[in-house]
Amino acid sequence: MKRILGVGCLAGLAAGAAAALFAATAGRGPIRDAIALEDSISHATSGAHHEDLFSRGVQEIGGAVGLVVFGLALGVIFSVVLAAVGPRLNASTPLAASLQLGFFGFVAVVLVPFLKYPANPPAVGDPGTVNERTVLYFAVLGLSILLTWAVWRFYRGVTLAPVAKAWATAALYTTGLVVLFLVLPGNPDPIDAPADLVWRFRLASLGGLASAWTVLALVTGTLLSRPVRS
Amino acid sequence: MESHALPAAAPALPDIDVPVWAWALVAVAAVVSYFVMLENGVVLSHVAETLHEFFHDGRHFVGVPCH
Repeated sequence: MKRILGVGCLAGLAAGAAAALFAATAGRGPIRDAIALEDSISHATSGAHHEDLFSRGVQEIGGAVGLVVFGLALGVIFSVVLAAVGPRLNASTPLAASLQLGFFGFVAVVLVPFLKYPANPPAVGDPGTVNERTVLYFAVLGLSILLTWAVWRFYRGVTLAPVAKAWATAALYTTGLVVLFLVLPGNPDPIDAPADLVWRFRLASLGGLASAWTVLALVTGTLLSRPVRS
Repeated sequence: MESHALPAAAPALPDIDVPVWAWALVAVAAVVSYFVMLENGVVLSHVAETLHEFFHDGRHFVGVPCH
């Protein structure tokens, strides 16, 4: 257990570094543009320039630190879940198990929440709805993980011919997703920022998270593939 | 006789019982993620703003809601 946890910490740090690198390159432009837009709007409406707690440079460093800390936490969670469910996945090697969990984890934790409530750059977001949006975000995250777990339990528990089982599992997951997307309300905030800017930011965010999860799963699987020295 | 084995095959994942302390660590990791990425002042009211602003870019990048 300690070995797999150590591996998870290393892989998590690497994943966080990958995300930070992505943010520093692809994410930097859209965030700067969005903040410039935000400042020009607040200038025009209130005339006052609001004091920033931290400068742009410090926030960029803070953002990178945040991503690495977040990566480490993700690595810990990933490795413990891998230890718990890995042996029951349909995978013959640790690398295959890690990649499988990484794929399903990315879809459940990143992609599904992103499709319902896509990431927004700084200029978008009404401070008055932030608590509501936080609750909604947790709801979609929790329900998405719950749905994945339930479908996995179904897949493991049901006795059907392999092809029928694949179709039944896919149908169940799709139905669950449709219900999830219909039941949860949309993002309450209007998006006034230019669509081009918003989507450049969203793609950078999704790309960064995808690279982080890829690095996480690959590094975990690779390190676990080394023979254990006894 | 020593056999010319291929480099040791990757060991399968050992089927271990995950100890309680490992799950406790998962909870700690989740709480840490919460403070880094989501704290908007619900739990820590004042320190939160400092934390929030420091990690601001990372939060947006991960896609969590923000003011």
